[in-house]
Amino acid sequence: MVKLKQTALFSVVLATQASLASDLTEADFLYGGSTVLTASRLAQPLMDTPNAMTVLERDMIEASGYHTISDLFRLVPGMYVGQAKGWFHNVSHTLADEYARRMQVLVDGASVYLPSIGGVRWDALPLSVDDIERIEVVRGSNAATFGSNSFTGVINIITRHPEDVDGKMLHVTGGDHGHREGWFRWAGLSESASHRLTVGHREDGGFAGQYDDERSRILNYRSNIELPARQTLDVQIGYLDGTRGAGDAGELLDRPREGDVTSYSAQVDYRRPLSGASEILAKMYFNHLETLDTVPVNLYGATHYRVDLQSQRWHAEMQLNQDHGAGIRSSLGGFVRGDSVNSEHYFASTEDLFAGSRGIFGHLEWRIAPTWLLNAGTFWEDYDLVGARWSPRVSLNWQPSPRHTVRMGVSQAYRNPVLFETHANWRLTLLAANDVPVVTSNPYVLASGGVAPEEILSGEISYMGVWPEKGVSVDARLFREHLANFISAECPTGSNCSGLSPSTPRDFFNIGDTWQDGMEFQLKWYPQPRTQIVLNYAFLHIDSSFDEQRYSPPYLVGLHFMHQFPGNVGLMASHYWTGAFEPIGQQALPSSKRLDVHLSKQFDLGEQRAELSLGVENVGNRSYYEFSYSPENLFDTRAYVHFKVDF
Amino acid sequence: MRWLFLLLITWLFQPFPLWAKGIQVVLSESDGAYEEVSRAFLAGLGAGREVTVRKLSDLQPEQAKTLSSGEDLIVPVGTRAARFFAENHVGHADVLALLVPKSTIDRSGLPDSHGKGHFSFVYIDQPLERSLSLVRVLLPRAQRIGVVLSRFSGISPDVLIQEAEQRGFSVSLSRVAEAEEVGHAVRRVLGSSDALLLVPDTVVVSNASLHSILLASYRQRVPVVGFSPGLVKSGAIAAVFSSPEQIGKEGSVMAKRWLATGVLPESRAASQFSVDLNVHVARSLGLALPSERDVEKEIEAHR
Repeated sequence: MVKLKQTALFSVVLATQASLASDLTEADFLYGGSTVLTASRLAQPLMDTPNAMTVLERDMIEASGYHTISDLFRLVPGMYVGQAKGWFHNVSHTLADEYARRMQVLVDGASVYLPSIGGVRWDALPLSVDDIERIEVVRGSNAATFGSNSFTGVINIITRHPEDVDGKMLHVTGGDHGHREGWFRWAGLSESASHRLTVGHREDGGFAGQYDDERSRILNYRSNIELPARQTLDVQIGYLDGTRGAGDAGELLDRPREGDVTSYSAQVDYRRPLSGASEILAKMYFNHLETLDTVPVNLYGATHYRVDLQSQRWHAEMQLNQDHGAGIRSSLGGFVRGDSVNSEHYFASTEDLFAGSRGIFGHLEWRIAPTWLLNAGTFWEDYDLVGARWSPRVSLNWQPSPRHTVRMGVSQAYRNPVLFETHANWRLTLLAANDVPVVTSNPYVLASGGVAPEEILSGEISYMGVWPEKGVSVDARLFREHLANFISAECPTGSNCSGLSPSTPRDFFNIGDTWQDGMEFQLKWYPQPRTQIVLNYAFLHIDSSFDEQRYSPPYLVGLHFMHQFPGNVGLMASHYWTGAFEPIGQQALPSSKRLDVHLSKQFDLGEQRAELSLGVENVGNRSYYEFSYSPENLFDTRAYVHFKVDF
Repeated sequence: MRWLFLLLITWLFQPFPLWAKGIQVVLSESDGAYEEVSRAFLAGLGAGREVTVRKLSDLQPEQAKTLSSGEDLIVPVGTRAARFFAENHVGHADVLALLVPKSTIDRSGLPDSHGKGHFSFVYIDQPLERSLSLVRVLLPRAQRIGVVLSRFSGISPDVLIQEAEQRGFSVSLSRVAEAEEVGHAVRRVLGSSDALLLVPDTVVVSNASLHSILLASYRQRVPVVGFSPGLVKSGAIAAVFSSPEQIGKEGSVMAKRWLATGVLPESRAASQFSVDLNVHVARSLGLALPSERDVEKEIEAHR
């Protein structure tokens, strides 16, 4: 018997002694697996949502180079972004309005909608673009999920979790029209909590021909605390103060001045996982906005008058999310809210005006069959000023394959009149040097309080498809909406409501209804991994019973090209085409085109990662009118240079 | 002479080599997975083999020494049994260890001073190229893979980057020395990754760290690809792995070769593998994944 020579190719002595606990064993491969991403933690995938939704992820937000939050919505199909003044932006989805009050806007689920005059003061949000993780936009009504005033759309800005931002960040920007911006962020972790603190300063000269400069100081703090048994508490505080230029040298009663603005907000979110895949969420928030303009005059011996406005909202809600198995998930909750406003100028009273509301909401997601998903939900709200109403929503998603979804949905929603629409008593009180009233005008607007909430009944058919190997995804939406009881401030027929002290005030009425038919389309294509092309196209046809027939652009097109060059150089070019229209209460605007470009280069600064970039808005100086057809609103070419460093 | 000739013929044609070779299977633990390896190993060997199956708990070091001095092939299943035989190896017996992590073997490599038996392994982990192919199949357009490694991973960063580049990926790599650094390292790579690849590494992937790794990745919409069914259950969108059965089968192929030629083939991962997918998490991330069968076929095709 021949013994083969054994060569010790792999003679191993596996150490016995204190073998580092870090040695893997097969147990690490065979066992384990407690579900971390439970069903309730998982966001509903876009293909399952009841509405057509657009999600702006951080990579696109950063590639765009936009430093103003409202500009980010240019990237969403069907959204109109207008700039009435340097610091005053309006964002709307159909129904372009100076105070775009028909959309719900939330930051981490907390509404920043103004209960006083409606709409959102984008410039007063104590938030930096760098702190935004993603933006979810529901292009359509979904009051069932987001509450009243989720009329023509919902925007939810989700901020970055403190755990996801590490260390410190510095971001400075300089550019045209005296734009200077500086942000500093510090993030850290302790035993069971993570924190992020951001402070910033912003100033901008606004439009060349307008008195609309801005100065702001901003602070934003967010902390996420882990409690025992996987409970979490999330706390956010925001603060902003500054000045806003307003006025027109040529106007007798609207002389240039620097107004003051202060806003602060606080929010607490609590989450507690329950057995199974359920969880309880609780949320409480409070926000406050006040503005004060002291307008100089030289009339009847008076020296000035004040435009003051204070809005406050507090809100508390609880929600139970459950996964019942067998393809059924549900969500049930209730809320209580209080709105209070105060303005001598707009409400002719030094007292706070208060309106409370309370309600319940529920939503069911039911996978009826492997390719059919039903979403049904409703929202019931009892608002002091108008009483109780239901806002139901039903939609059916047909998913013949994981790549294609066809949605069919119907929903009803209400827009409650804001306090100005129910209690306005807008007068001008001229004051002498020592604040002694000299003369008070007749009211310009006197709300009799008889307006009913606006109603919208909307139906949509939408399609979503993905072809991952080709890098293509398509989102298309067809909708038909009927808006009834449209609220507008009107002068009663035959009366005269103009002049410094009108004989008859305007009042708010439900003036009619309007049909909106439209189509929104988005195509995303990655021809190759480093390149992305996005085409957004929206078309809207309006048929209204009141005067304004073209209150929103008939078409909104955006074409975006993104590319990553070698050497960490990124480019994004965006071309926009906006159709001619007549914003409510404004003159007709011609159609416009605009090209924005952002070029960035990332590099290492020693151990830190830094980025230098150049953003140019309206390349080529094709001046167009922003929101208002007046020479002061001509938008020229603006360039900005950014420097950002993480350390 | 005729009967001598007959004897010679019978000897040449007998199914087994003259010298009687047996196989000694020793299971580290008595639970299911090890039994599955053993069953698949035996089934692969076929009938009529001399195989003894024992539990490690029934063996004394002296017995191990005796076995190592014999002619039989020793087949420890699991790290504990493999260690036991390595420590008590005094003879020339060949050892075919099944179900052992590659990094554990690599890390403990020391020049041996005990026996001269040939050691071969069927690793429980997957070759890097298979995990990378998995990412490529699931995310055709992905470009950058994020990986966090400690020195306990057993993966060479250079090899990783090279293999990744062959499949059209660039790697965003972060190295850590200890568990406290993992959170920061993961955050660093998440920002520039289309997918996060978790590799077997006890410093990086532990009960303590897994929760926050999966949540942070999910928040930033970065899919995680893991290395075990357990990770897929926790929240990774997919993993490629070899089941105990597949490992046992591979072991039997190697043992048959040893029986036929007396030489133990080189260490390797199992040639058969399975894929597990977490369809819920994938859908939530907007990913339309093919079926597990289709993914397995695609990975085969990518080789």
